[in-house]
Amino acid sequence: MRKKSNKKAIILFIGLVLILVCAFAANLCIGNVRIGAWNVLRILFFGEGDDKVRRILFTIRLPRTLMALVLGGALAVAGFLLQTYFSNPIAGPYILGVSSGARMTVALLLIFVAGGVTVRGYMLVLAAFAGALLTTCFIIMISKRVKNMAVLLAAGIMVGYICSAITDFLVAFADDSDIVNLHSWSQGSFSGATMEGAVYCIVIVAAAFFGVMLMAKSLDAFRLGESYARSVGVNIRLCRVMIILLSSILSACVTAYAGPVTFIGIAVPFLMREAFKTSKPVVLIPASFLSGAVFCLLSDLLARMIFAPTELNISAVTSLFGAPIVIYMMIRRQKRHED
Amino acid sequence: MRIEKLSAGYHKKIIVSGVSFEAGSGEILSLIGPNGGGKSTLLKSIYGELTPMEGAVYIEDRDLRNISLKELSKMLSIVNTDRVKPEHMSAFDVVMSGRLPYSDGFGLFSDSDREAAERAVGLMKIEAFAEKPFMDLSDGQKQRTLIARAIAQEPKYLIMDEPTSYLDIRYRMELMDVIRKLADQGVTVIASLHELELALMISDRVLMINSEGAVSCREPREVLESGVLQGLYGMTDEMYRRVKRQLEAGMTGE
Repeated sequence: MRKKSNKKAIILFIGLVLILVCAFAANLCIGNVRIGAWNVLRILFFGEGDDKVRRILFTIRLPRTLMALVLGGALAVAGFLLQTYFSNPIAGPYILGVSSGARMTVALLLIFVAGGVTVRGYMLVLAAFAGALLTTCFIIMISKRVKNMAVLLAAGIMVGYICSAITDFLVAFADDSDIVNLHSWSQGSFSGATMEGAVYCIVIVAAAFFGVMLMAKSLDAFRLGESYARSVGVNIRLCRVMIILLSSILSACVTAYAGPVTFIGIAVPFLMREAFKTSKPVVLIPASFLSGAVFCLLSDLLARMIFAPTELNISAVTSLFGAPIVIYMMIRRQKRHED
Repeated sequence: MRIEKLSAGYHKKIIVSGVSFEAGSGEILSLIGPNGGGKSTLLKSIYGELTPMEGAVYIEDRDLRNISLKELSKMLSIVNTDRVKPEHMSAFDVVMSGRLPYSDGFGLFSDSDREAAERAVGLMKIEAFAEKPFMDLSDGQKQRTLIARAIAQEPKYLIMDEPTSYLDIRYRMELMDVIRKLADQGVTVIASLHELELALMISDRVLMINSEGAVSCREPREVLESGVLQGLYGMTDEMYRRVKRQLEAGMTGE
């Protein structure tokens, strides 16, 4: 019985990797200029091929694809972390107000600090990080006073609202030109991806992912609640702070480089729990990463393709597919509890 | 295990005070007293979830506060009254989670962990639903699974808060047998119990917490002879006569 489920997990993992490779390839090949798979391989590995095509591949498609892959995975892992922590399947970076916090500091930057100065990419990134970490610290402060998970979750939502409200105030008093900047960023898109940004993302997300994997055992124990987790040797305070820090680093990275991307954090871990029929973190963390990457790559491909050459923002696509999954999930849960 | 002048409570409010007792290897101590008297509070301080406000808990002559959680988790396991809701975990997975202190860094288990869990499953006789999702089980089945989880942890000290809740009479009696068996293997069991007759039947000593949070410790026979139970639960003479008759019948019926 247990041997069988092991085998099934391995097959699912192989399947996920294969799909990921295909999605990656498709994102490189498909676009306004179609590049054949063979051509892509030749350019990537042998440096051959047409200059114009090479430029498209290296400066536009490759960074964008890499970024979608890494950040999609990051979002799914961040969502998974928060869900395990709060033992609530709809917890996510958005619910805790982390993304709103990031958006608020970016608005501050664009409207007050940057008045006149051109805003560079890395400034946006730093601002988003600061905002995400600020919100996270605030949540940690609340979590020190409140033991109850539901209250903490509600507090997170309220913090999110406060940040959004402040952002709205700022926008109301801002110059039009500043708003245009903020508006395009806060829509959520991978269109601004650069190779430099992609490298930063890969490094940050890889480090955070490593940290998350090290926490797999603590997260495992958390499934039975804090008291039992403690009784099997988990330092709850430390674990709580680590989860919040890691998940906000991951989600800040996403918010910084791509703006808000919705639903991947909630929908993907749920799908993986159902597919693998387990909640064991050591399985679900890599599974969530892989399928989050796939989900994000395909969503980005659709965002580029549906009304090409006009691009949709990525959240439009992820919401369209993600929201129904979340609704289905809630109905299923309800049913399961009624039985 | 030695408890010295322990006072415990929440938010600077002392609930139980001045508790001192010692529990030797293989001893069974039961904790009785009226609702709200602080049974859970005392147990939580014994397993370290609450830091004592005064006094200390010593395990093998070491202050509990100086024992790392990792080390403690290999010596002491608990069954508490929390209602857990793990998703996508079978009853066996829940039992396995008692083996986490022994697992590798990723929470992966070895064959010996699996064997220990299977022994605990056998001891608690939960094989029939071991592969079922934990959330689909009845309350009694969940309780037995959680007790098996604590046993799988192979503790020297087993602390249980009302382990008999949700169990019907048969499983209550079976649990008493399991507790006796564990004690014979050298496990120290401290459990709060609602059922006085079980407490008097199974324990080597009985800890009584009155509604003021004061604790006294006696042997079962003394408990009955001294008539402390009447005061402990605030029973009328008539009530107590009836209760005593029942309990005496239970004890001599062994």
